[in-house]
Formats: sequence, C-alpha cells, structure tokens
Amino acid sequence: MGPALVAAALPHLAAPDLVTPVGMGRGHFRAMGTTMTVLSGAPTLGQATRLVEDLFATWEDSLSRFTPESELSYVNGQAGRPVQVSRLFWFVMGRALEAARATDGVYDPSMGTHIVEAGYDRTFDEVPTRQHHVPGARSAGGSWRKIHLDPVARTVTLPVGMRLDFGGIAKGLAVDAAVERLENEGLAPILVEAGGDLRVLGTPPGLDGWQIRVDVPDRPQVVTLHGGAMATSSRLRRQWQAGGRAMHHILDPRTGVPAASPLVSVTVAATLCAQADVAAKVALILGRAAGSDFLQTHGMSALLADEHGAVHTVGTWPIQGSA
Amino acid sequence: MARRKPVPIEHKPTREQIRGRIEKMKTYALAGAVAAFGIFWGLTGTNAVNVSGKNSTRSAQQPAANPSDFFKNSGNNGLGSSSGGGGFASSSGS
Repeated sequence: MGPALVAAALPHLAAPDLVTPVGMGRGHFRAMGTTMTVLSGAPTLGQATRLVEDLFATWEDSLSRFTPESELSYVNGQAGRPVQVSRLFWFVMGRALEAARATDGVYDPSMGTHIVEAGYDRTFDEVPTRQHHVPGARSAGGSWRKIHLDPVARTVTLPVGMRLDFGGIAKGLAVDAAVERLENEGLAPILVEAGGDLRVLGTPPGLDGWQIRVDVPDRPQVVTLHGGAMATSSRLRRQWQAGGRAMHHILDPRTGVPAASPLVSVTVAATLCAQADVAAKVALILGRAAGSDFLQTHGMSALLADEHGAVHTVGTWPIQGSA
Repeated sequence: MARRKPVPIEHKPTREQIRGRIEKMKTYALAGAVAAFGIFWGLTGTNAVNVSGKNSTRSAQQPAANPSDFFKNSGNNGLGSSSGGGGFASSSGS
C-alpha cells in the first residue's frame, strides 16, 4: 500500500461577507460536487432556483464521472465500441472536441485515465481519506483525436484504454444552459454561479453591473461585471500529496501530469461561461506569456496570479484602484 | 389502344419555347443539386466535429473549417473597476 493521499484543499472562500443586491434573493443547492448559487429577483427566486437545480440534476446524472450509473461512466466502460448517446451527451461531447481543437489540445477531454491514476478518482470530498499508490509516469494526452463520432446514429466510440473527463467545461456549459433557460422564462436579471464559474444576465435593480469578488491568493479583488461570464482556474484548491509530490487536478495534456505552471490562478471574463472556463484552464497550463497571448488572441480579459504573489492583467481587466 | 389526340397546329410550341423550357429545367436541376449539396454539407460538414456518415468519414484529427469556433465572440469588454465591498458572488476557482 502506498503513502496516504492527503488533501490540502484550501477552505472555500465563498464567504459570508457576500452581499445580495437590493430587491434580489439568493438561492443555494449542491450539485456537481460544489455549491451552486442563484441570484434572482426576490419574487421569482424560488422558481429560478428550482429550474436551475432541475437542470443541473439532469446534467449531473448524465455527465458525472463519479457516478457509476451515469451516461459518462457507461461510455467510458464501453471504450472500443460505439455507444449511442443522449442529445445532451452528444452536445457536450461536440463542444468539448471543439474546445480541444481550438486550443490545440491544451484542453483535453480524454484525460480521464490520467486523472484517476493521479489519485483524483472520486469526488474531492472523499479523496483525503483514500490510500493511493504513487502515480507513475504517464504518457501525454491527445487521445481525443481518436474519438469517433457518428452523427447519423449519434454514437460515440472511444479508443480502447481512454476515459473521458469533461472537467469544468460541463459545468460551464450547464451554467450557460441554465442562464438561457431562465432568460426564456423571463427571469432576468439573474446570476448563476457553479463553484466559482458564473454568468450573468441583465443587471441588478438600480445598478449597472454585478460586483464579483475574485479570490486571488492574499489579495482578493472586486470587479464589476456588466454582462457575460467569469471563471477561475486555480491549482491551489484541489491539491493533495502523493509520494512526497504535490499533486493538483489541472493536468497538462502535453506531459500527462499536473501542470508545472508558475501561475497559481487565472480568472477570465468571456461571453460564455464554458469559454471562460476552458480559457482559464488553458492559460494556467500555458503560463504567463503564452497564456496571455492565447487570451488576447480571443479578445478575453483576465487576471493572472503567479506563485510569487504578483498579479498580471490581460485585455480590459481593470487595474485595481483605477476609476 | 387509345390513340393520342393530335395537338392542333396552333397549340404546338415553337422551337424557341421548347428551348426556353429546356433552359428552365436546367436551372431547376442546378438549384436542386445545390440544395441537396447544402443539406448534405449541413449534416456532415462545418460544425460537425468528427463525422462518419454513410457517405463521409472524417476523424477528429482532421482540421475543422474554423478551429476557433469554440471561442467565437468570446471577448468580454463588460468589465469595470469596483469601489470594493464584499461582492455579490465569488469567482473562486475550481
């Protein structure tokens, strides 16, 4: 038996000092291993929260890699054979492969086997109690290029030995879907947040934007988001030790092991939550120079924090203290 | 067997009318072919990721028409500085 796997996750900073805009209400529930928040007009808060909760329950049933009965677990267990999938799974699969192509594989949905072997084989709440072997050397990722889709039969065929792990993109897409559903119900202004990934629609009564706290280590910032989405990728949150090595959940598909990035967190503002989520993760893996170039290429604004405590901005991200 | 009733000479199409009808048929045929190709391409190309239909096979290794589609219109300039406070929500990282 190997050494104990000890998690060192930082406590969640979604702290009690968050405020609720006047005239609005705040709803919470648990889904996808995290705390969900819905901000909506006070009279419709119950309706909005129920809609979002139902949507996330459906998505989690299909896409969780921690639930043996999920569609994702089934597809992973059938690698090498075509599996007919639901429309939801097909949609997420397609978007994940689009993201992989758009990032030259720095976002890689085919790292499921790697992340399990690194020790993150169950919800993070359970990881600290597990005993786990020291992860060995892994091959690089890139197996997503061998995934075969048949749009006529709507089947997915994974290469043998590969397991899907959509990661944060599923959460981001679910947030986008939830916001669009609430918009269709006429429930704006709203904010939907899933474990730090969020999207807004409209603005709170009497205000021109939403104040969002960005939890940069040692120096949290508050910025005003007038529209769109924001997501943060951090290698400080889901950490553990294995074999004397610091492990975290953001794997670099180019090496197959946790990214050795000098950046500890990247927060990105983008139009869609899924875009922000993927971009934040990719920029963190690429590091400051290449990550900034990537973000600028796509016109996104971002805040990058490095391991020395310095922060760097990209695009129109406001410099703190400026008007 | 019933004999076909002869068409009176004054109703017979002229050579120019026949030529016009043939040209019209060619136009319809071309339009039909373009529409059929459009439907086929819509099903198998552009936005599809790696597609293998009955008549077409592409793998994810092959480049898409626009590999940046995922980040289309991703730019967000809707950010401003804040005077502080606790914030309405937190982007805390995952």
